[in-house]
Amino acid sequence: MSAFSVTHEAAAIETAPIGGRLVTRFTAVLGLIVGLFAVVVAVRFARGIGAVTNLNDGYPWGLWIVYDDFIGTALGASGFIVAFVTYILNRGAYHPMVRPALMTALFGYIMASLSVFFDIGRYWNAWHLFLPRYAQIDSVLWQVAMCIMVATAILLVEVLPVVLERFGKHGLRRKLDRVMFLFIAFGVVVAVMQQSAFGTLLVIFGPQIDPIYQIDLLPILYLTSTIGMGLAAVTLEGSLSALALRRPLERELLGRLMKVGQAILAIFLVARFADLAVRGVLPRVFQPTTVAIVFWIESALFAAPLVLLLGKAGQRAGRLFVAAMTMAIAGMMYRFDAYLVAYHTGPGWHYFPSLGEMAITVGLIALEILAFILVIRLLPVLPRRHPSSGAGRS
Amino acid sequence: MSVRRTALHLGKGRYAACAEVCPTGATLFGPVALLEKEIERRRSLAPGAKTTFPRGRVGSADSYEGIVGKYVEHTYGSTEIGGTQVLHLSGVPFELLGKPALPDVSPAARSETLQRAIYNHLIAPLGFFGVLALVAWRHMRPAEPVAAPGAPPPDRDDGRGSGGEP
Repeated sequence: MSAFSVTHEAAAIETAPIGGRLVTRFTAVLGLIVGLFAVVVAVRFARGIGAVTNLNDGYPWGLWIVYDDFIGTALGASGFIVAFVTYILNRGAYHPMVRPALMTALFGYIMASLSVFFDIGRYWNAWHLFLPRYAQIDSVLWQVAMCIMVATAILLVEVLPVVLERFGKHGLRRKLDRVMFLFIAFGVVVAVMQQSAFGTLLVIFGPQIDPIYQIDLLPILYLTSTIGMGLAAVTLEGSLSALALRRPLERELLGRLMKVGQAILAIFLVARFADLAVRGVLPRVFQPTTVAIVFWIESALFAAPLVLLLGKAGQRAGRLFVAAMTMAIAGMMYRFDAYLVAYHTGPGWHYFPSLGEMAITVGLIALEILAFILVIRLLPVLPRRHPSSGAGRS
Repeated sequence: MSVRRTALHLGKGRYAACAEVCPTGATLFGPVALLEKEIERRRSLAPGAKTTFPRGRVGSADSYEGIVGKYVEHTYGSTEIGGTQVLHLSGVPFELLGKPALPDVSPAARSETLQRAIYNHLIAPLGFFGVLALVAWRHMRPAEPVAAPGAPPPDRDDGRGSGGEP
């Protein structure tokens, strides 16, 4: 498959469009949500950003940036991480998940780009981002924007083989395969740069972020939690598409991915508490503040998968699913807590997302799921045949 | 809006609109060095004594007589967040006004230092990319000519797979 064709052929995993009806009750509901989303988007562009959001001078960003952007791209990093695991480490075992992971990642990044476009006040100046003379290269947000754009471009290249295969351009595909290693490597670099930038953003906020969520170990916490979320996203996606499409579950592969996730979360937790201790903030988490409470809930969620995945029972499908869910929610909460709960710009400012903001975020998610369904039905993304279904199941 | 208007004013040889219209000279416009001198002058006077207060621009001829206040020892804005271009000489400690205590280090300077350290001539990202690309390339080569013998699927008979699924 795609960049992974070499080992893919060795593992004899073929992908194929799964076909089927495009209009079902599920896609109809999604379509309805997307319709509502379109209305709110129209209002936002017609009447301005204040007409649909609760954003204010104290909280110039909210749900859209934190969920659609920070969390969306963190989940989207799953594609780069699985690509890394598969190609760089050349572990054929992870192959069946690569295409769906790359597709999700692509949709995640497109969703992030769209939401930025809704969020910036003067969206008609957005093209300035493409001109070097407008670039402020020390700006972390500029770096984030660049990374999102480059990551989207790389993902488009990485999923291109799927399209080429569909339309029978095998010569072109082979040529692309020969240089694909460059894109695979570059994708990881960009994902790492972007995720660590989310840590650097906290530094700029300085005293406006509660010390519990301020960090010195910049890249490590955001990077490890991103990898955890990425692996969790792949596992959830694998489980849900197995259920929804009545396909055998890639339980053994997912079990291995979650084992990696378990190690990553352990690193995260050690780094998290070490960072607090080094900065002398540890006593603060024992005070009865909102920030301390969300910190403990979130830390418990980070720790839960470590226990859930222990031993033989930890490899059961149900356990894997719950562990992945917990892992993903923990990573999301970490970002919500840091950028919204622990973010205080001064007395008198409050923020809670408006219905309009929620409609846009939910609409974007619905759009993403809809696009995913469309793609797997029309393009060769999911494995045709299950590689371990014969040997693995009793 | 007012910042924008000020920018237009400055272009025409005028200055900050807020300082221009301030009737008591509580807001003064001028280079930081001159403002610091003015602050020093007021501090050197005994509280309660009479002195002249400039209006509009620092050192302006437009001035009036007033009584020197009892000032807090710290000039707010001189060191906060790395030092700002707005200096506050106050008779009341800012803590009592509900203003937050701010660190002397500018967070933006810290992040800039960080960014420049990490992305110094893009050496680190390019090096990282080089290593990854090399590893990826090396893993691509051997399997290219023939597909079958190169990489046997490693997890086929792992033994762990049986019996776990509900």
